[in-house]
Amino acid sequence: MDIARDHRADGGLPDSADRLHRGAVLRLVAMADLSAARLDAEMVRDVLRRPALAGGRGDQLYIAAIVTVLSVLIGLVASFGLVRGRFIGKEGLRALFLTPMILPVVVLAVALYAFFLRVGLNGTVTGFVIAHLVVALPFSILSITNALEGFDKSIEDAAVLCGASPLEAKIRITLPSISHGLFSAAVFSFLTSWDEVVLAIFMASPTLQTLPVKIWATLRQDLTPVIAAASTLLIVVTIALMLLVALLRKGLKS
Amino acid sequence: MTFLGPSGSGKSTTLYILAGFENPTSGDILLDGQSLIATPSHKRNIGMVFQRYTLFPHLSVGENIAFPLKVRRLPKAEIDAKVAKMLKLVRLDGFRGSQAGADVGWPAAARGLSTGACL
Repeated sequence: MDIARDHRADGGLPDSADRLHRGAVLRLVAMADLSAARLDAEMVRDVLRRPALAGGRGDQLYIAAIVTVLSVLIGLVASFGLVRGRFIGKEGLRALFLTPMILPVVVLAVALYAFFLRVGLNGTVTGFVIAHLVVALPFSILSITNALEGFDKSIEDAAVLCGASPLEAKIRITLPSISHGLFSAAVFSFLTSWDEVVLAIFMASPTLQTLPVKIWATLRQDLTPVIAAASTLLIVVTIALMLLVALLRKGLKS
Repeated sequence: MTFLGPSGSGKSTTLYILAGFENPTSGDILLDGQSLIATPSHKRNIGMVFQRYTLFPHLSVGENIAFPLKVRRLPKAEIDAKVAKMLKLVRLDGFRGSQAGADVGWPAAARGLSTGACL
């Protein structure tokens, strides 16, 4: 607690960035202690009750859900083009789709922020969704193209010969066959949006914030064990989803 | 009629042209005196067993055979009767609900035949 107070006293000085950083790390350590000692149902309930922390959760879930749906849909269409299409610059286009994975997120965030300021999308759900979609899409495209490449195209041809129109063959035969790819695309897109903090900090407004942003802001302002509980919630959701993926993949394979 | 030849000589290509997945550079396909060139693949009414059998991996044997019938929106009772007949023909009566193994050609053949295709 003392460390935290010290650090708060000099936290405003611009040359104390290093100390500020060390302070934050120490504080996290202190919090880990706290969470080990005192994390219980009471605290989790506290997170849910706190208006400051609770207000964002609905938005966050909403944003993550839209990002998931759009990411899978766009990823599916893009993957069909990238795997089945025959056009010049296909490899280049594939690389372009994956650049958000290698581009520093901060750079992307600043660029999007500047752009959204002009078109008035800052602090809106639309802005949030677009920003998160940019970083979620590569995961979607990677897993769907993988699934599609592993799918024997002549199975789809066989369905067409059975009398199904090309579109019907894709919906009834191809999509169920690559469902594992679609499923991991959905989970990874959801988690990308759910846990994302850098873009979210730039996109957030006082009225529209996600839980990671609130955790970040609260960490900088005061020390409360509620943050540990909130973080636990985030981690539990993530672990639960990963377990679900593992179980379902096993089920789909057998 | 049999196509026989070394690999790369165009056996599969010929079949693909018949199926409508490839276009011939010249010439025409006639079935009962009618040209098939302008007909899209799914309306040609052709049954075909692929080299790798291409069974639909997420469907059971029975559902595989029923697929072309379902696509044609036949009544359910008729589909059931035809599927049973086909299963009997390929002697797989007991395996209707089992998962289709990729290395077995009989269900694929039954699927190809189930509609009474012209070719």
